[in-house]
Amino acid sequence: MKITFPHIGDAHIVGSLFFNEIGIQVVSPPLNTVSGLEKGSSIAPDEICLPFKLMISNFISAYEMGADTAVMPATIGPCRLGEYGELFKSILDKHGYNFNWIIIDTPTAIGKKELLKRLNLLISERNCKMADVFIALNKTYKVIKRFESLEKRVRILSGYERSRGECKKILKECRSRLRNSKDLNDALILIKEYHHKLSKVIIDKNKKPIRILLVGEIYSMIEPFANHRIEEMLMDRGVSFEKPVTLGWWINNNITNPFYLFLFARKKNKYMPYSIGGYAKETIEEGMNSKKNKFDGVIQILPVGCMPEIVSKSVLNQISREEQIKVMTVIFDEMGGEAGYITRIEAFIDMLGFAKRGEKRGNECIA
Amino acid sequence: MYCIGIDVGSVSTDFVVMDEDYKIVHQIYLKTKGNPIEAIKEGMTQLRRRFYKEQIKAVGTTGSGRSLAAAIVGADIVKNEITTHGVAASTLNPKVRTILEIGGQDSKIILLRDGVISDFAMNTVCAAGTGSFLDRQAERLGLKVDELGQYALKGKNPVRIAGRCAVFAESDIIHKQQLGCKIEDIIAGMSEALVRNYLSNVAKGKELEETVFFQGGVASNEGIVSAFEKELGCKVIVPEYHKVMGAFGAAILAKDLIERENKKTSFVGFEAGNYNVITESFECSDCSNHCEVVLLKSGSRQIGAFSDRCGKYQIEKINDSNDSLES
Repeated sequence: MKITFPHIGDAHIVGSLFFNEIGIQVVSPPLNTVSGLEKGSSIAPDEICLPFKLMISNFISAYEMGADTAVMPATIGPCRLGEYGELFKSILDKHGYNFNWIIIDTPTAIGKKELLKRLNLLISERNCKMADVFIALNKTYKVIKRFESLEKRVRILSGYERSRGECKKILKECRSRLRNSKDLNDALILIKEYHHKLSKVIIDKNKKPIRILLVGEIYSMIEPFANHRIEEMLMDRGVSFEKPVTLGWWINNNITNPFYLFLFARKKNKYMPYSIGGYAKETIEEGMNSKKNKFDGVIQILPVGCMPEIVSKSVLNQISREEQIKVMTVIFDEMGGEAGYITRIEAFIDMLGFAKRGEKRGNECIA
Repeated sequence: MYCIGIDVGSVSTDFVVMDEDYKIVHQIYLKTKGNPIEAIKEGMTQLRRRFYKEQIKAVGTTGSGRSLAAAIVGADIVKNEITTHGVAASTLNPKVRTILEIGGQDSKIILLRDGVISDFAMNTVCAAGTGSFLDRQAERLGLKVDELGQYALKGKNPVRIAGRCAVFAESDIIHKQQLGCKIEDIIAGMSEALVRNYLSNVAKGKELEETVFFQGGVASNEGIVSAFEKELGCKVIVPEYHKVMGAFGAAILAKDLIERENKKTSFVGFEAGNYNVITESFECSDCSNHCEVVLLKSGSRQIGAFSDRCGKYQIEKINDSNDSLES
């Protein structure tokens, strides 16, 4: 059995480490590219959102590389992404890519028994015990958490570093070494080493960088290809930013912490009392609190065709007026040209800089 | 001492030479014609007849071809169009609170409060409200794009044309033509449709306050100006240098940067007009990113590289203000 799963951020790194740990062979498709996207668009429904087209292209590449079992995490919900697993199966079957499908869903949606049954399929050929799987899962979760905390520190510190680009370099190096790490234990040691390296970067505490909050649709937030590497763009411009929606955040809220969804559904806010699917409610709540959390501006990431984020876009406009916080929505599509994105993001940073430093002509040019 | 601003846009490439008192002493407006490198070289050659390299204190570039221009001429600052347009307008008139800007490829609205950009928006998906739409329609009606304004002013009973989408607008125009409507009324209707589309699309939810500036190539069209005045119910000022405001802003920002940091310009000189600049593009397959790298060469010497994510094709970074753009 050779399994595969679609790309989302660094999931392929930790995913491969996990499956290797329990002795399952993984086929990791090549990273998302424009030509891959073309392949995906050719068999995906035209009106579907960008994440779907990218993920389906990953499955095709993996199939061509010899994968026979597809694992797709899903969260059944009003957003289409929750149903994507089933849709992938139907479209790929039609086009002759015959995978065995293991669709992993939340225990609240399919029940604990069913989840265990599906997980069992994974290890049916191997003689490893369920207990070993859980130990490996736990370790994987640790790797994700520790790496994300490194990423989080880099995002914040890149506004304060004395020589521009140092933090970004450390993160990039760590990621590429992580790809080559032997096993999960090795990965944990490596991440620790880079946490230490990051602490040694010279920080200028007197700097007052622009602070931006990234909100938006989960896949486009995590997968750098889908957001045209907006994070690197911000790091290069000396912006200190935060991104609450990550892989670890999703795992925590949907799998490890059973109370989160229950509590979240009961949390009311004046703009959106109910969940309308996807991460619209989260986006709005983060936007509402951004002023309190001392952010200068909010960037919303919206892939074309994402229904929940279209709703939150209009709510964010209202929040922007009422709470006096700058919000910009960047819409991402198949279009490859980056000039438009750079122009908008750069102008947004300039504008926040003018307001923050109270200068006439953006004397601290960040370009 | 003078400062040069270059705005490489989709339709036009503009050059501005500005003196120490922020006064424009010379301006050039060239058609890009899909070949920005030639347009930049042509501009440099024309400037060479009037200025020396030693007179130039700073150079700034803007527009969608800004990094290309920066690599060819050696710019001190590379800035986006929104910031440069805002800076240029507030330098001309500190009371400006709203800037309407319609270029060839995109349209923007910039709001200024106390001379500082406080909000902006750009057209999102469709180009129905931009200069290229007008270009196309003028061509279809057998007119020059500069004549559209005159015709629109003559139209007494503008016809209703759908402005949401360029394709629908065109079929509406054809339909009205077949009905026998006067060409003046059709063009007047088209101008109104473009303005309506702009206000409901780009300027949606924004508070447009006086003083209103109208910049960009489309501002030469009197028909559009009067349609804007009718819709907004206030005076719309078209600044004298409306076509080259982006380049003007780039020159101002370059001057400020050089003065603040007390640096020497990285301008390579007007000989740039004689360079034999060639581009080489290929898909790099050294890693899984598969970047579509573009190398810019003058003779055998590489002067710039674009779209390489890892930065391995970059020559030494020209200066700090440029490096971020090349990433």
